[in-house]
Amino acid sequence: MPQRIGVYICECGPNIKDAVDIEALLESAKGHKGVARAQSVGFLCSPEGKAFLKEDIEASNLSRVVIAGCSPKEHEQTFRDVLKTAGINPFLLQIANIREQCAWVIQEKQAATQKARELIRAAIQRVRLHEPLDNKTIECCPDVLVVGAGVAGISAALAAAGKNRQIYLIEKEPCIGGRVAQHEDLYPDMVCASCLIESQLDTVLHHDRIEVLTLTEMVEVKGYLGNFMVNVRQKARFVDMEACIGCGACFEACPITVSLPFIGEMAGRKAIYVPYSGALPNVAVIDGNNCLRFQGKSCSACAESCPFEAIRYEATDEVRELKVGAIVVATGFGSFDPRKDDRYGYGRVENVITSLEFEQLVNSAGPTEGKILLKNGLAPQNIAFVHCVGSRTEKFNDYCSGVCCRYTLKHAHQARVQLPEAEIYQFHTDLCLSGKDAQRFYQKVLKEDRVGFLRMLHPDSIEIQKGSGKIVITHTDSAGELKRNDFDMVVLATAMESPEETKQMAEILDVKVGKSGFLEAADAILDPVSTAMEGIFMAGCAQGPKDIPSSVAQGYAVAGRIMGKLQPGEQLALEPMACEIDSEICSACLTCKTLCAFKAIVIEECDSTVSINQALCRACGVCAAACPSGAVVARHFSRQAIFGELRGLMG
Amino acid sequence: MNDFEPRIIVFLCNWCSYEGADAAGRDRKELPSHNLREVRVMCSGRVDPQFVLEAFRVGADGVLILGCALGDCHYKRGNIEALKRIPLLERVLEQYGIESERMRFDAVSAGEGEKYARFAIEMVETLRELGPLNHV
Repeated sequence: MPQRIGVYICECGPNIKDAVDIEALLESAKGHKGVARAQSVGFLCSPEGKAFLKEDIEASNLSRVVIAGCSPKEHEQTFRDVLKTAGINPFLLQIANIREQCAWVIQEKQAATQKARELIRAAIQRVRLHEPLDNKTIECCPDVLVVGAGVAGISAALAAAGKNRQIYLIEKEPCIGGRVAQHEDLYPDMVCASCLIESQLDTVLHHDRIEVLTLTEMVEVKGYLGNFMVNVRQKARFVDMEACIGCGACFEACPITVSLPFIGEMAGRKAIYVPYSGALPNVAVIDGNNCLRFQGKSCSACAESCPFEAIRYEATDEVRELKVGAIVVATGFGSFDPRKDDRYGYGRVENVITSLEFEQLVNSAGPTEGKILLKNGLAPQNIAFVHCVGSRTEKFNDYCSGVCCRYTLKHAHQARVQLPEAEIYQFHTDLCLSGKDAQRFYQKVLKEDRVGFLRMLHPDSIEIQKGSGKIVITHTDSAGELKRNDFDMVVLATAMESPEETKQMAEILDVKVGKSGFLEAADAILDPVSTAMEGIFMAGCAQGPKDIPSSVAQGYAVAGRIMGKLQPGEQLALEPMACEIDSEICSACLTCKTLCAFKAIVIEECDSTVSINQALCRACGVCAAACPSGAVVARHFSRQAIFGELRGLMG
Repeated sequence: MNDFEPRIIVFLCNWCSYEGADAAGRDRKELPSHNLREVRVMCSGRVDPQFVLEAFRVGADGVLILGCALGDCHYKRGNIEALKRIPLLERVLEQYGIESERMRFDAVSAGEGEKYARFAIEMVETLRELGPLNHV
């Protein structure tokens, strides 16, 4: 059937009407092959205009439409919708932009009319070559795998879990809750961290749509948005999760004590243990590196002492395959190792500890039951807090972690409350106290808590040495003078770094890691929780250093992104303009594969032919431009369509 | 040759430079729009070298390829792939006897109507100096 093309010129009030000769344009449009109808309309985008367009398309029995008017960026979608209601494939439309790129910028009417004539001619020639495109959909799985059960991962899991959506929450540690569950108080209001998070952990553990897998890591991933197959490995706990109630009878029986290096022999845990008092799930785990039995010796003290027969020495690691539609990486942060720089004295000078270790000291569920103690069991008389350890220095991390100033103030406050007579000093270069509460908290610590601040010239202007009975801190102050002070305890506010797990995840998932080692967002401003790989998301410190509320917010944000993309019971819409490869022409040179930023090019396992995954392609057309044999078809922007447009423009 | 009115094919990426060209229109910038013939593509990386050759073949005196600013590509690095093709394309054009100055690749972001107008003016000036393309 011959094509019947309708050309509609929108007058856009005086905007187009006064700038070009509409009658002349209609006359020349009618002269082109296939044009069955040419008509001008006052305001085509108005409700009356759209109604007229629909009726006129039907009445004129048109098969394709050209609209000359404003930019397609304004109303292409509007008119595609009209075409759809008129029973024409929405892609059989071409817009000639005779307003922004013609009427508004050409003063002289004759010249404007001439350009408009050529733009319309090009649109007619192009629309003839358009192919109807389908809004294809595919089956998809709405379930989600969340890697990391810290606050970010838990928030994502809780928000995304629901009717018809299963969440798998995997955690490499024996318990969930991440770092926050091990904090005592949270700034600025010193609320109890465990009180806040325990109820969340409880909800997660008992949620009928969330399956929590502890001691579990991801090992392999295949697939794409809506259709991932993931292999996870769950390490043996050697304790039956169902039988154990965490009574602790086995801890007492275990002959092995494992001490924490920073606190020494004063406190420790057994080779069978729960990580801390109140850890959830409250189930013991055997530490195979220290258990006598796993060193080849004969000991079954825990099994003999267990009243519930929960010990399983014979347990082995298990691999499970999970089918999910989306993956969230919420692997948290690592801490800069101050041993990397001798100046910090860490690991060499006693009672030089990191902030995370201090956090364990002040935790009432921690090894000292909340007491700030030196390794000799005495309370310190003076404590130094050192800011920017391993951060804001070209030597290690050039960024500011953004939270250390605030938690260091919190630590100073906690020390003051517990040790009213102690001298407390902060060694800092600058103070990063953004947000609505931090400044108030700083003023309080400064005044009420009588904390001294010593300003250094640079984060690196500090040296920590062992003195006679004291720790000696030498620093260059802001005036450039060398100063020396003695302390009993030094706490290093170490930089938040991207942990090894995040880097492993990036490798397994084939997503990009930025310069600072954290996962890179598809769009750092508008889409900070999505990676460039469709279906793979991130939340919390996996994406960059951040505080607890921001991590929680990202957890919820990621759930929102996933719920918007994968709806239970609904199919996944594909990009209608996604490119495809003509396998008859393709020589499998794989030029396209090296260029595709979305990893959409697939080599079929069976016959090594190359194809484009329609769920991953975003229709940029980079592959089509580069294909040496012209085998890639960029739908709607095909070579034929563009050549047609060029011929129309040049006449 | 100063009254020569060149015809320039302008390839504009959908996300930045097409918006930039629209912005020039909205702001009624002074630019030689009657010399320009705009072609929208999804990404500057879609601009096949054949598109450029075809544009010259069908009568263009010059070709402008405009994309997002480097680092801002909607498709991550399509504009970088486009940029990488330019040196080769220039050599091909020279072999066809087409001065490489007749083609220009640059970046115009969505808000840069002013920059778009400047590039258009500069291109027209360049082409006035070169004169019409003598088709072989």
